[in-house]
Amino acid sequence: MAGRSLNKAQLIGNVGKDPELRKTPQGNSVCTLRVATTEFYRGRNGERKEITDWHSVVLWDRLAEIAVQKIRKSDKIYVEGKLRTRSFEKDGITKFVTEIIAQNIIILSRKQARTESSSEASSDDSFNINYPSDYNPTESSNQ
Amino acid sequence: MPFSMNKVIIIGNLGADPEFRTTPQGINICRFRVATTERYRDRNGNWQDDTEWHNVVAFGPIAETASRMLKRGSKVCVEGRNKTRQYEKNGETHYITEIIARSIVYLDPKGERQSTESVPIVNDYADTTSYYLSDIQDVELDTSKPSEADNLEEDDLPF
Repeated sequence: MAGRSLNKAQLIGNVGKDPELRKTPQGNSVCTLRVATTEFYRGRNGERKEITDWHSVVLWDRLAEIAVQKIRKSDKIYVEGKLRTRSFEKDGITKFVTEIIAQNIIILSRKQARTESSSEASSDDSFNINYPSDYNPTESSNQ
Repeated sequence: MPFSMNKVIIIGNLGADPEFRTTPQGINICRFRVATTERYRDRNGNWQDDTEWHNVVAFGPIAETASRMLKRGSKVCVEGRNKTRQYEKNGETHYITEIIARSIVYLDPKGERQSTESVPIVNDYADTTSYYLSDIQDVELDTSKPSEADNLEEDDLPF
């Protein structure tokens, strides 16, 4: 029994490309967002430097379906979720990838106005979904 | 990009003793792996444990403290940033995601700490920003055995 533990990641960053919806063989919706975070710091000589990190954020089910409608490349979003590392085989070599499984997303600002959206696309630029704490789609995550 | 955030916080147990080393440039580096376990009910209503392993890297002063305070099985809270880097192994490109620690809270009861020092360390929040964010990224990290801890079995864990 491992006792209590915590596994939480929070990002604010920009979306690298339009999300695409995929379906697992079991019929679950899933989409992956690439999110860039940039942090600034002073180098040893006081010069201003920046570091950009790219993150893979995985959205499941309802969250994925909404995100595909509402999120576009370059939008700034807040993501909250948990870290998960999975392995996969490629050309006979085992590789690992660490992703953030999103539990809550807020759109903070949009790069450009949506033209194609329907009227329900909204006055409100934010949405968020909270999964119940026992929500765990990973058992069906063989993508 | 006017603002962004990259924050990870985990609470869990070490799977093995931390590894400590000092680079030729004199920078202290401490690496360890932390397991977090989440419990959920599967579709049949049975409880399942979902264990995640996290690679943690600490630089500078907190690397030193971490190597002193932590051992296999220690409970710890790590806050930091998520960083993915790539390395070559046998001609293949691999990626590894690590948590670069910004602060570490040692959660073991005092009597069980390895260290007998009476340092009242609760939250090791030294000024590590320069390490945590900066030139350290240029330091050649030891990538020759990045996934050795992946061989850890859960049975190896003392908790």
